[in-house]
Amino acid sequence: MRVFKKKNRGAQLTRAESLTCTPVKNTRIREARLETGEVLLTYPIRIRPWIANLIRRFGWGINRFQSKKLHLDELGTAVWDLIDGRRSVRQVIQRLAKRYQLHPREAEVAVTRFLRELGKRGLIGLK
Amino acid sequence: MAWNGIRFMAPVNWQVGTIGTRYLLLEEESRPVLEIKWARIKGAFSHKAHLHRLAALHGRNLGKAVRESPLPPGWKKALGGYSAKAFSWRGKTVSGKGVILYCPTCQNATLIQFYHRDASKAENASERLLASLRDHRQDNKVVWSVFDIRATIPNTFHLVRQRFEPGKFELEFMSKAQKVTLYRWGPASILLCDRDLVEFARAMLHISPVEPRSLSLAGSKAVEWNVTPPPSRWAHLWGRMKAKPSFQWTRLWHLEEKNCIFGVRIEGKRPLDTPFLDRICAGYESL
Repeated sequence: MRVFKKKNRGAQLTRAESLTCTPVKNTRIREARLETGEVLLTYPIRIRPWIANLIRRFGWGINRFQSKKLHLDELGTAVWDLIDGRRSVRQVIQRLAKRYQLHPREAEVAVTRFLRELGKRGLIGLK
Repeated sequence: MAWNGIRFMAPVNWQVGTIGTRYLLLEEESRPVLEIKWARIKGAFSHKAHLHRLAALHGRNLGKAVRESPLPPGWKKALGGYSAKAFSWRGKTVSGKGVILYCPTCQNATLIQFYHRDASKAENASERLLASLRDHRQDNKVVWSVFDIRATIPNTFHLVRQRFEPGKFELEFMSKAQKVTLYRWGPASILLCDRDLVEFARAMLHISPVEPRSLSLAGSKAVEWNVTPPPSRWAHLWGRMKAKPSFQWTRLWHLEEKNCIFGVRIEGKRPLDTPFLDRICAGYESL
């Protein structure tokens, strides 16, 4: 019996496949536009039950710990605004590259890295 | 496209996927289409030995059988000046065809592999690419042209470091006496939205107390500064003894129409030659 069994992460998308996916925003996110035009996202976070119990025992309000904020810079805001549930990752990359005169490959790395980070925080999903 | 001595014309939709000191992997729609590696050969060159080594590597790593194949007539015509041997291999979803080249003039050996999904389409592209392939120049200069930058550097300088990250490209070259670093930052509209070029230069290149000079370079805003040790004998001796170069010259310029910032830094232990600095800057351009 293998003690340290490798986790089965399911089928991984290839780079070509992931570029054809469409990013979709999480509907539970609150989006605020700052004076600078940048976006401030407030998103819920899931607290592990034992941490939630601990918080309750100390008598702290649980609501304080249930959301987090993320301030996007100008480039991040531009990508965020391009996510409309219809455009694919490739289309987002092309639009961003055109707008800021970036090399397509440079834009691809920047956008995919950013989307991966948003995905990890549960701010977007891919369909 | 030009990198470390090799130059060729690739189709527009073939993009650099991986880049090494003497290695390039080009992709089309995120799939590999061309792999090229090269090296200077000391002594005699044997196509057979290199093909054998390649076959062993493919067999071990990828489970593909590489076999020697006749050189296609189109390739033979395109590769007139080279001594060439072709090979091919076939995988489950992709097959490949390649050639091992040896240039007797510069003793450079090059391995080129084309990954095929649609063989007929690939044939024309490969012929055109091979016809444009060059591995040496007569003017002792090396052209570096990838993504959206192109630089011409004397061949006495060799590449020691390359960094291609979104927003920042950096190429570092060394010769016996000097170090040349090329920078490219972007998008400038974001980087310079709340500061000017001098402040940007201070933040990015950690300028010491030296005050940068603002100037105009072919219509572009530029800043330049140099660090020179005081002209005393002790300072000169100390400068020669310490590891860090004493003479430093840096220029940054903002290409508004390309929305990027270019930079060149040259360092050395001896006084820097101004025409050389200008030549490096003149040869460094955006595509």
